[in-house]
Amino acid sequence: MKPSEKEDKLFEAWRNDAEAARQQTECPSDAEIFDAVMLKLPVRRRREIVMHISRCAACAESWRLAIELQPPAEVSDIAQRTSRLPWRNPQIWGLAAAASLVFMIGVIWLMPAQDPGFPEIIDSTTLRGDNEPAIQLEIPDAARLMANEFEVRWGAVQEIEEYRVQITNSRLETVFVGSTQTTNLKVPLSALSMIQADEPLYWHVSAIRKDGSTIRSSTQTVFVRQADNPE
Amino acid sequence: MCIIDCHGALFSWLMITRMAEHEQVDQIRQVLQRAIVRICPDWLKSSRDDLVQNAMLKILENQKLVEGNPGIKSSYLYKTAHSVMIDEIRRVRRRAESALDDSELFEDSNCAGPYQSALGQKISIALRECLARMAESRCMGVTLHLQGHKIPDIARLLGWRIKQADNNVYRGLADLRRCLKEKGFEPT
Repeated sequence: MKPSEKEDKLFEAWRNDAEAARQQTECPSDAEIFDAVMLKLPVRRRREIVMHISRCAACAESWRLAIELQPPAEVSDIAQRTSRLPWRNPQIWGLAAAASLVFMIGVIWLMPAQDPGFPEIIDSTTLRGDNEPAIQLEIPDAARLMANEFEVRWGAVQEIEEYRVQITNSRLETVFVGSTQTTNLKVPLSALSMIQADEPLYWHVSAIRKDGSTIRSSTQTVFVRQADNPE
Repeated sequence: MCIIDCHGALFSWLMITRMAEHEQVDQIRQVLQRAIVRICPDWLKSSRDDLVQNAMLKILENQKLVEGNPGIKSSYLYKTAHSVMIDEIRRVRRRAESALDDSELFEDSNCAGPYQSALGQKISIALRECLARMAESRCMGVTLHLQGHKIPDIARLLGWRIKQADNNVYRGLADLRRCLKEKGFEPT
């Protein structure tokens, strides 16, 4: 079905309000939306989420983003191919059932005792509702800071126990971790002494609230200029 | 002598482990880079590396929770990339709203003027009102159609037959056009 010009306007109107939309507390999580698109949720839950996105522009946008990460296989092609497959012949079903039984026994025999799997992405940074604070980093992205004056700054968030700053390199090694109750932190020279001139470092701030929950800022790149390096 | 050999072996083993770790980190980074590039809007292009690093850190944090983890599935990496990307989009938009002058943030995008924006928003509201009035199955079909899914995808997502999906989308779109017309929005 090729969209007509009239339909293009519908698509445009449909996507138009995502910018102003906010996720609300009753919204499904982005992880659940992703699972729905990837068919990892039961059909009943998928339908509930689709009904939700018919009302919620923020979740509809999250869904569209997940579509773009789908594997490229075309369902229609698969459907067409399977309709012509020879094992649609009922005579082969007996053999197939026997083979499946043998396979299942083999799988159960060889299966490890427990699959650790992965934890859900518990994301404290998800912006839900209008009242959720967000940490704003006040150093421009990709800034070059002198090693001996390497100080990071960010905007204050209400009712915070402390802020934690983490700086990592591209190999995911932690260069520096520090905590403070103010909205700036000076990184000691000793932590930066081994950093190369053009090596990107990545920093972010986590704010620990009084109730124990955490809000995390986005991650930004920063470069170190050593004191004796004129660049 | 044995002590020196043992130390040497231990050192080699540590080096190999470290190299393997670096290799794994590189592989994870490559998958995340591909995912982020695929979904990153143009106006966030300059933040791609930061987003990849953010996703890497999230994976590292979550991985610590699972002992004896044999490896990371690419679907998990994609899920993390999705989560990081949608958060960043919302964060940047919120910052733009709170800033007095947000022209810098979106200077590359083709922003509509205030009249077009207001009109567009009215149509969007009308569209959602019309969907809310529709029969549930048609509403679901049309919603997924507007999201960009094709009929076989819609059938698969909603557990329908292809013919059923086709009918619901077709009839739902007819309902939608009728409803929008009643509200004074007729596509020209």
